[in-house]
Amino acid sequence: MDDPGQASYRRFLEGDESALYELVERYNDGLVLYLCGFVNSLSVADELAEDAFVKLCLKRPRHRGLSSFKTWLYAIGRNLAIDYLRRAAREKHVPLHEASLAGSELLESRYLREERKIQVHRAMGRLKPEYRQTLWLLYFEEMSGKEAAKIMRRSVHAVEALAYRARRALREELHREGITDEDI
Amino acid sequence: MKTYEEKTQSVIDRLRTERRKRSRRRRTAAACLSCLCIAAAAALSARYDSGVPADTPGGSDVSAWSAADSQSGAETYAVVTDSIVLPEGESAVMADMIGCLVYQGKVYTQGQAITGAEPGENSSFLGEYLGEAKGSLSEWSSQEEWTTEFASTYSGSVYTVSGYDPSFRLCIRQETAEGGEMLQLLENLDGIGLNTGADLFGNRLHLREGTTCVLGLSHQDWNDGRYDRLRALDGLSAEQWKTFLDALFDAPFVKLSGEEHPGFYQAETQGHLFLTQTDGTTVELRLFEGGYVGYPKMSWIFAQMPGETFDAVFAACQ
Repeated sequence: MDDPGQASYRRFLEGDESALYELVERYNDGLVLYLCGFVNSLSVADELAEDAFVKLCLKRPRHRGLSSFKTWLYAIGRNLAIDYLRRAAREKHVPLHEASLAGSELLESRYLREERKIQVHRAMGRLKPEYRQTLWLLYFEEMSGKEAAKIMRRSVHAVEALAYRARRALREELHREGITDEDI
Repeated sequence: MKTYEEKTQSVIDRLRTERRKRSRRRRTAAACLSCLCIAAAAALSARYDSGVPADTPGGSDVSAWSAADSQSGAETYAVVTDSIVLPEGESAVMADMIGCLVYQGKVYTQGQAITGAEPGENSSFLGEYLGEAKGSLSEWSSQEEWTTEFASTYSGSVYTVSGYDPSFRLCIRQETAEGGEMLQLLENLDGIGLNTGADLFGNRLHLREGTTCVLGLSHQDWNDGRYDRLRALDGLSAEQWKTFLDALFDAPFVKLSGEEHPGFYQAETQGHLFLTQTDGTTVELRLFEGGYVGYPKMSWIFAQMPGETFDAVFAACQ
């Protein structure tokens, strides 16, 4: 199966800088929204996403093609987010809920497009970080349980169990707002 | 928020700056490195000459572990699992890296995760406390970092697991942000010798005495992550299951290869078994046509047990 990310990345390694733009255009928004589920701050998530691209390009790691490029990029982003949270905890610096509503709305409308998806995404923001991340990977990025497990460094079983609990919590959140969505 | 163009440009600028810095660092380090190489070569040479196995704590490099395994092999095995050897280069960058822990010179890789809502909920799993996992490994770790005792991708307290040989299974206990706990089981499949199924499924996993429930899943459902479709194996009696386990324990291990068996893992008809154990863990087995039984992370090593017993279980998974 064609992996457009992998193809662009290969071209970038061969010296084509325009391929980097393709990667940023294709993956940046989703990655930022995913990382926001960890760090609770759009601007931090945006910086971490940029760090992920820098790391990817600077280290030029071998992508062995056993997983999709997106899975790989998200795994790198997740590691960076965890490092950031560790550092923040050590420095007693707690990430804040920032008032970056405009940026958040822009990303949501650009990446999620549909109003219903945006509503669901906002409801997800009130769930536990672990639930947010799982639902994001499985339902917004449409990854398989196996791919999500790879990124989250959990077993497929653990991800399935998390997804079950997360769906239940999300449904409660949506019901609280009077939204019924049997597809969630 | 930056536009895509701005972000791309920012990444490119940072890359250029980083490369300039690295180039300066490399020139400075070059002189020191040549001295270090001579010292390291001398140390390694002395270590092997003295016959000290390299898998003792503080082992010198990862590739040496496989050498240790073959050295200790007074016994011969049908197969020896692949040792985890890092790719050459300035760092051990692996896109598909999974969770792991380095303990006594062996790499234990991620197995099942067990979560609990309350701390102490899973204390029955915990055996002896061994130390603290550093959470120091990432795709970018150097070879040196990989050789450090308790180097790991997770941080937390390392314990042996009750009922299992610590040379096979350990766990890392972590407290979660929500106030619960998670036990990450880890298994050492790094350069181990195997003759028959009993070596893994008996001596290490204790399937005969431990299995309380057997569920199956078709390959299609497994591929789709439809674990809600796990089901009891239709028409399979307890006696048939016992016969299956007996045959599995007696089955020789074989090592196949992708070159000889192209498309093996892509076969549409496969079976997946989930064996719940008395301690609450689950063992997953993957069945392939021809009587091959695989265990996660063993890639091309299988117990081979062709025959009616295998066929009955294989068919029941579909």
